[in-house]
Amino acid sequence: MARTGRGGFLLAGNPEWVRAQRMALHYLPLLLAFAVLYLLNLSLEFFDESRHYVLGWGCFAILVLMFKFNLFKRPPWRFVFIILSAFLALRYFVWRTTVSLVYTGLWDFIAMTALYLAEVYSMIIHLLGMFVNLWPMRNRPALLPTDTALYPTIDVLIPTYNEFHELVRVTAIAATQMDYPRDKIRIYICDDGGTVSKRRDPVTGAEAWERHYRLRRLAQDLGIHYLTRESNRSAKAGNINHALNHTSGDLVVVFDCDHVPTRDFLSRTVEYFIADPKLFLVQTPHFFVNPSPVEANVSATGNPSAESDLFYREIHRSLDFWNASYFCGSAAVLRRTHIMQAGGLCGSTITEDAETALKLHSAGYNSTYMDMPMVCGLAPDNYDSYVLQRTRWAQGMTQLLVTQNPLTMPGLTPQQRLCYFNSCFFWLFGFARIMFYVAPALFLLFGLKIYHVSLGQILAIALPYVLSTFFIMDYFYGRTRQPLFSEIYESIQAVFLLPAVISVLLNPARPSFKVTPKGQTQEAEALNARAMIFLCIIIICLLSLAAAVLRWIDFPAQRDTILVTGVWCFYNMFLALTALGAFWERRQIRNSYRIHVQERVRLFFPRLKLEIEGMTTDIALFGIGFAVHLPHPPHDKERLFITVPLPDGTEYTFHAQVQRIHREGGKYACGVRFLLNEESYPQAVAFVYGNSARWLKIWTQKANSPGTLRMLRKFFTLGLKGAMVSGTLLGRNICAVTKLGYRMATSSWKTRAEAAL
Amino acid sequence: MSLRLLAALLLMASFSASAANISITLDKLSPFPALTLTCDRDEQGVDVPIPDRWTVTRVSAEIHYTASLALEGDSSQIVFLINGTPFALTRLEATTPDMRVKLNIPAQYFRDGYNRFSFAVTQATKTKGCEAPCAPDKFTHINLADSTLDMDYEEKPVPLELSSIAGFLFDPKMFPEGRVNLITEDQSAQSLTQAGIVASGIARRYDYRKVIFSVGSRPRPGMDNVVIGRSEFVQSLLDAGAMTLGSSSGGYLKIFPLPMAAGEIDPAHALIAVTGQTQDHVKLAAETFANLSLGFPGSQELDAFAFQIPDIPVYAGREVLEASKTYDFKTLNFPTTTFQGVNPTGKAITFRLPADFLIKQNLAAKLELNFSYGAGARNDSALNIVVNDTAVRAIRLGDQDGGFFKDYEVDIPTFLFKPGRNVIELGLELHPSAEACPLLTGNLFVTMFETSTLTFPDMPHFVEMPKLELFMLNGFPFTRWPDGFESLVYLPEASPQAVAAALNLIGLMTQKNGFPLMGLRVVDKPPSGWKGDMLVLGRPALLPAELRRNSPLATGKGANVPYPIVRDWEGSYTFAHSNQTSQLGIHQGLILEFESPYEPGRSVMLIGAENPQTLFNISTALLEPEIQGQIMGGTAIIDLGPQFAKPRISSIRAERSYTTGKGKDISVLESFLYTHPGAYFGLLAALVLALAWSIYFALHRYRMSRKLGRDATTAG
Repeated sequence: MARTGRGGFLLAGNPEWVRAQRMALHYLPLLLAFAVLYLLNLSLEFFDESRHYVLGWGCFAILVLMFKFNLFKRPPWRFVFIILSAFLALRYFVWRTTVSLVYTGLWDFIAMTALYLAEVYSMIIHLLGMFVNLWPMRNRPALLPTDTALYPTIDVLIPTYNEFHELVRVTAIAATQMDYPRDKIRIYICDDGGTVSKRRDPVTGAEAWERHYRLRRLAQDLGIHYLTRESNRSAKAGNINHALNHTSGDLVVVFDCDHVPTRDFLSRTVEYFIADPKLFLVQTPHFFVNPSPVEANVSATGNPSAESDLFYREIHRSLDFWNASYFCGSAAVLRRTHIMQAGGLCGSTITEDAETALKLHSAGYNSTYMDMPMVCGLAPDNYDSYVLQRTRWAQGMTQLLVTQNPLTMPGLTPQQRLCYFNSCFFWLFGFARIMFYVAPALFLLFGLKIYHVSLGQILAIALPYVLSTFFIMDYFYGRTRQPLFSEIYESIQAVFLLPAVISVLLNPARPSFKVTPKGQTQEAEALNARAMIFLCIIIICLLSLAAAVLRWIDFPAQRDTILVTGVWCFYNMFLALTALGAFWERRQIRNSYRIHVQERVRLFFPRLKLEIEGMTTDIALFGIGFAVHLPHPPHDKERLFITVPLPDGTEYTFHAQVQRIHREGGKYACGVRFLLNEESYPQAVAFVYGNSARWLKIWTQKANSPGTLRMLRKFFTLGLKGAMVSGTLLGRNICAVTKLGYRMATSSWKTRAEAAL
Repeated sequence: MSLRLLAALLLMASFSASAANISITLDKLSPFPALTLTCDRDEQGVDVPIPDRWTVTRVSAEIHYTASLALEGDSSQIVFLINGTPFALTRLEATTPDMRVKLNIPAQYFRDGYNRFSFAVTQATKTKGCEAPCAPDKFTHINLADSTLDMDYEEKPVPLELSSIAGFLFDPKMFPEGRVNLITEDQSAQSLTQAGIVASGIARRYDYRKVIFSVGSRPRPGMDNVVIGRSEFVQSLLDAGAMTLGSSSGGYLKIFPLPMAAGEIDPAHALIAVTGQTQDHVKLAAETFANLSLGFPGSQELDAFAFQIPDIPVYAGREVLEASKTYDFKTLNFPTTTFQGVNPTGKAITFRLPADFLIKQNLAAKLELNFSYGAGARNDSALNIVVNDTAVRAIRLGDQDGGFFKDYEVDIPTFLFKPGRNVIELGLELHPSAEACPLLTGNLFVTMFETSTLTFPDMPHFVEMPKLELFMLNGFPFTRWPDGFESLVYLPEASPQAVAAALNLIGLMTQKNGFPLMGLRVVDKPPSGWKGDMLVLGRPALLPAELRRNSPLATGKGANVPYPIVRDWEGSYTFAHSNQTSQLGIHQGLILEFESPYEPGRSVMLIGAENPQTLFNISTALLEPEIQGQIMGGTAIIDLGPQFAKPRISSIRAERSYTTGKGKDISVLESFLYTHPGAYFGLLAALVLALAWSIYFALHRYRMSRKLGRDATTAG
């Protein structure tokens, strides 16, 4: 027997002993988990209310303390936090199931069951979330060999359908600038907007021909390849599969045409394929330069994290830990042999990316997630695009759940099953969210008994659990999602996604792939018409609150329930108001977005014969803003030279012209436009999009973004404004309909009277 | 034998009926010390029980009342009634507000059973015209504690029929108490168990009426006697009175007039033989005796061959509601009732819930009411539902045309209920229409139909012990099975007084639970290893060592005595411990309840005193509701010292607690963790930490393999 470095004892050379140790290591957590569950059950069976208070609030207090200190955010303390949260959640759920479900009548039962199912859904997602986020992967070591002869050959595919030519151009240029041996990389524009069938179509033909020529010319100019096909069959999956059949590189990189890669994209991702022959995918984050419509509403008051950050900065890292990181359609590297073994990209669902990953995971292949933003993309610009995109995701993942069912699909590890199931099942949130909206109203307005609990039980069991969910959400996702924003995002989407999801559940083959429009503009600020649904919810909440007051007087014995449902209803109204506030469409007149970064640049003013260092305030493809100390104010339209450093140590110098000047303190804040030509345009692309460190810096800045309360207040104010606007609109419509009816009735009466005369 | 019987009958006939007198204050017949009669008319009263064996010859009463100074003498009066028949009346004069009236009540107005002695008032104030019917100055206060009823009666000869056992002899109308003497063959466990069954049967017939048992070897005069034992023993007793048993081949019962000294008999009292050829026959006879509940048989003797006891559900008992079962009001002693007039007296439904019910907070008992109400009442009239003195709901009777409600649902939160006795009271606020003058009151009525129902939801059985109050409530834990199954009484010293004390307590438990304790065993040897609950009566020093170790308070040499020092908000004490050599005083008794050393979750209850007479006195004191209400927690000391006008009781919660519930579901670990919350929370914390670290070690290798990009499915 030998003493190990950690102070344990090993029976050296005894394989039985080692095996027993490993078995113990695997089964001990299970055994301990059962012991904790036993104690949980004991408390529910025998504890009186006062002890439940101690247990519930005690656990909660520990969670709050652990939340406050960074020490407790790393394993194994992280696991303590998760276990305590799970304990509170399970305690609530078992109690809810065994104690609070009481049959009191048919309608009560139906409403109670619907609410309970919504809670079951939420609980499953909550617990799966804890499992998935147990130990996110971070800081993978670099593994790329120095011998470039070992590097695999790569085909870069840029699928496009109907996007602007300029978008494709920028992405293609950036792809050519990626650091990788030139002889080992081929770039393809895979054009589905200029297919033969499109060109032959009398309606779309002219436009398709023009697009075909322009993109083919672009490819020629850039020294890359242009591919198109006969028809648009199987949409994006079909497009990529067509390209796969016409290319031969070891690895395949896919960039959506609005996803501009940084220069180090390949040097940071290809290495993993060399290390692991069973690796089929390296996925990287989608980083969006523009705010989503929701974020745009509060960009003046704060700096909300992008909605996608939650997925790419946290959840995907966690999925990676369980070897369940999946293909997200773009910004990913795939191994050709494995993909082809699966028959190319799958096309039976409209989320072909996740479906393909699921199939390859079930075949025993691995995936990896590289948590470094190395593409810059565009988020949907308005609510219609936003809802369209989310509908596609929701329908696709629901299709995956129904047709492939990760829980029963052979070949997956149990962890992968849970991860995939979580990713698919999440999209049913519309049902739960809507149920949570209507549940208090069912009791307050119609007297349906949906939640048989006393106020004491709520305070002792339910409230610690509910509050703990906020804390664990912040614990997991606090760097990427402000408190309550998840509720707002879900609220916004729920009412629109639920019908789409139900249609898939009824007919899984029904949905078809719809491309999300990008780079759209908005002429004036306006409330999206979809917001009207939230006005209805607000009215229902108001009626329910009025009913709560009446019930409070009439039914003293029900005051516990009235109080709980009243508070719940008030919270719903707050959510509906903020959701309504998020539905404002901001004015958007540019196709190119400003990126707010502060970087040093050298400026040379020929008129002043002055070279000076300035600090950028924002950068964009066609120009930058900067602040600089100058002895004399610059002139409007004055020309200057701007020298910018690149990450590799080289520099680019751009010729530029002053567009605006603004004095701020002792500095001049100037906006300048680059005077670009064929030679300097790619340099501008490299400057703006080529630096992954910049995207990482922006990510990190957003992670520490304060001002949640300010942003919520802004949403709320916008909600009030929206409620008034939409209320007025609704009132006018009602008046108009009433007047029309009156006129019709009057004219009908007049007609009858005249006829009688 | 027939000659002897004839002689006895002749003697009985020649024995003149014994005369007696009783004088009691009226508050003994009422739960309230006083009655307040309000509004322009009101009637309240007390029920005077007249046992079947009494013939009342003279009754007088002295009533002390106080009337309002606002009453108008010409129009206000008080009428005294017996069973609804007025026999006296007087004016309620403002000039003589405090009155004491002496009444001679015709004895013939009283009949066997409960007789309603009521006071009806009509009260008018000096304000004439349309006055408020329930003005606050319309009242008359009857001071029951200062009013007396004096009664002469003669005792009727006992019919020599066994059916007398069911009603005539052990009559709940007997007041102030019943007294019965039991004669056993010996003090063996078998005989005492049989005596326990007989005592239980007798107590059950006395209903809630206090009954005191004595035990002797000879019949006691002036009370009914029951002799229990094999035929030879019983016959030897009967020989003195020249009485004989019949021949029997099973359990045998026979009723005789009570033999007196010198060969005389007392026909007003009975001697009942509970006997048989063998001990099994005697037990059969005892069980038969305990269950004779009909006016049958009319014969003087019976020979029983078998007795079948029905299946008894656990937790069943007198007036105990079965969970999830719907009871109509008729079943709950609430027949169709009409409440009429301006100030109708409400009516209550009384029921009991099992003593160890863990009342869930979030459920509701459901009342489905069928009722109608009259027309013309003011629209703020209401039917009030009050649960355990908490107003729960007022149903407005707002329709001027009257109305009828069917299946009107009222949910009553279960947290308003408690284990043990519960009361749902239906009260009325009926007001005539303000415009009506003279006021019409005949139309003011509410009829509650007996088809209305009550449903109580199911609850778990779980309770933290010790709780002596549960014993006082319904004999818990000994009545967990209503027939006392899995319970025994241990008498370390089977003196007549100790046995009588045990029988008193058996009677008490029976009356509380309403079921004869036929499964209860009485033993005189230390019940080592007994897996059930145990009641021990005797000197604390005689406790077996194992029981002494678990006992929270011991006496004698080197005893450890806990003294409560600080009481917290939950009623728990911090104890100081004193090692001392000390004893109970000669008038002191000790009641302890603690966990059995032989079976977790089971209880031992010790009723101890240093001498048998004190033990007996303690047992009779415990029959008083006033004393019962003060016994709680795990330790109680009763002092019957002559220096106190009333017994002095000190009750404290126990230092160590344990849990019990339905059946034996609660394991030792569960009980320990419940009664030691610190251990529970500590264990939980330890398990959570251990789980977290075990997950960490289990996943660490796996994570490293993922990080280095190795094949995750094969690594680790």
